[in-house]
Amino acid sequence: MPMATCESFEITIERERYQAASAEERAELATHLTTCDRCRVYSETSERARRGLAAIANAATSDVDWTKIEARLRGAGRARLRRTLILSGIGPVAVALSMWGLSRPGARVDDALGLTAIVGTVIGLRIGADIVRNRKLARPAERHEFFQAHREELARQIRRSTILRWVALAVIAVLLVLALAMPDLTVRGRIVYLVLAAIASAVWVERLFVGLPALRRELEMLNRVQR
Amino acid sequence: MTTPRSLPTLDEAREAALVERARTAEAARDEAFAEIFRLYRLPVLKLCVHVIGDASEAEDVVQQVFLSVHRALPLFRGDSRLSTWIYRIALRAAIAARSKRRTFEPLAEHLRAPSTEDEIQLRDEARRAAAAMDRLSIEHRAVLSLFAIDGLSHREIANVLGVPEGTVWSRLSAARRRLNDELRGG
Ligand SMILES: [Zn+2]
Repeated sequence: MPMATCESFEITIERERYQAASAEERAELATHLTTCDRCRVYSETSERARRGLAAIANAATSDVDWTKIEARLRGAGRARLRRTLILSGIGPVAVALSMWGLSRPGARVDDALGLTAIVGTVIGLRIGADIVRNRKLARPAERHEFFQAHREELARQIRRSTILRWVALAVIAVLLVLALAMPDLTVRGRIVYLVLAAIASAVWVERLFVGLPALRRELEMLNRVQR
Repeated sequence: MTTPRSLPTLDEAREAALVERARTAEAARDEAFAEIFRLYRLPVLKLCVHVIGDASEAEDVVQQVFLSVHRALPLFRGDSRLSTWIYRIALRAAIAARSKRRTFEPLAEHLRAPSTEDEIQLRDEARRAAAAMDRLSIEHRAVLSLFAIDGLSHREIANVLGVPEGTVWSRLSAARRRLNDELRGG
C-alpha cells in the first residue's frame, strides 16, 4: 500500500471534521498528527477559521425579521400581478380612450393600431425579461459541474445579449428611417414610430451599459481561479 | 418558534410530497411553498451570507431566491432533490450578487461586543477569517460556504456542485488550504 501523503491526510482531516471518516482513517490520522507539524497546523488553523466564520454567519442571521421577508415575498407577488394587470389591461384602455378623444375621426383606427403596437412591445419586453430572469435562476439541474455549466451559461447569455444589442440597433435604424423618411405618413404615425424607436433605444442602452457589463463582470469573477 | 440551529432533516419522501402538493391547486401550492420557505430560509440565508460577504445584501438575495422558487415550483421536474435545486438557485443568485458588489459592510460587525477572553479571541478569529475569505476565488468561497451550512451532507454538496462525492473532499481541502495561506499572509 502506498504511503499516504500530507495532502491525503488533509482530506481525512476534513472527513473527520464532518463525521465521514472511518475508524481506520481516524486512527491513521491520529498517528500521523503526532509526527506531522504541517498537518497539525492545517487542522488547527482551518478549525479556528471555520469557527470564526460560523460565528459570523450565526450572528448575521440570528436577528433576521422573517415575517418582514415573508410579507415582502407576498407583496412582491401581489405587486407583480397588479403591475401586469395595469400594463396589459387598464393602461392601454386608458391611453386608447384619451387618444380616441384627441384623434381626428378618420385617424382613429390608425392611432389605435399604433398604440397597440407600442403597448404590446412594452408588455412583451417586460414579460420576456421576467421569464429570462427566472429561467436563468431556476433552470433545472445540470449534469455537469456547477461552475463549468454556469460559465457556459454566462457565455451564452453574453452572446445572446450581444446579438440583441445589434438587433435593437437595426430596429432603431429602420424605425427612424420609417419615421423621418416616409413621405405620406401622418404626424401621429411618425410619433408612433419614434416612440417604438425610443423603446428599442432603451433596450440597446440597457444591454450596452447595464446588462452586458454585469454579465461580463460575473464571468470574469468566475474565471478568476486559484489553485 | 425558535430558530433551528441545524438543517431540518427533510427526507426525500417528504420533499417529493411537498413538490406534489405544489403541483396541484393554487392554494395548496402556496401552502407547500410556505413550508418550503420555513424549512430552507435559514440555510439559504447562511449560504448567501458566506458567498456574498454582506448580510443585508444576502437578505435581498434570499427574497429573490424564494420568488424564483415560488414561480418555478410548478415547473420543477424532480430530476434532482428539491433542496439541491433550491441551493443551486441560491448559489447562482449569490454569485451574481457578489459580482455586482463594490463595497461590503464587514461581516464581523454583526458579532456582539465580546465580554470574556474567549469571546474576544473568537471575534478576532472571525474578523481575520472573514477578511481571508474575502480574498478567495468564488469557487473556493462556494465550497466553504456549502460546508458551513449545518447538517448539509457531503453527498448533497456534491450534488449541488455536480461533482462526484469523492471530489468534494479534495475541493474542500484545497479551499481550506488556500484560506489558511490567506490567513498567514494577511
Ligand atoms: Zn502531514
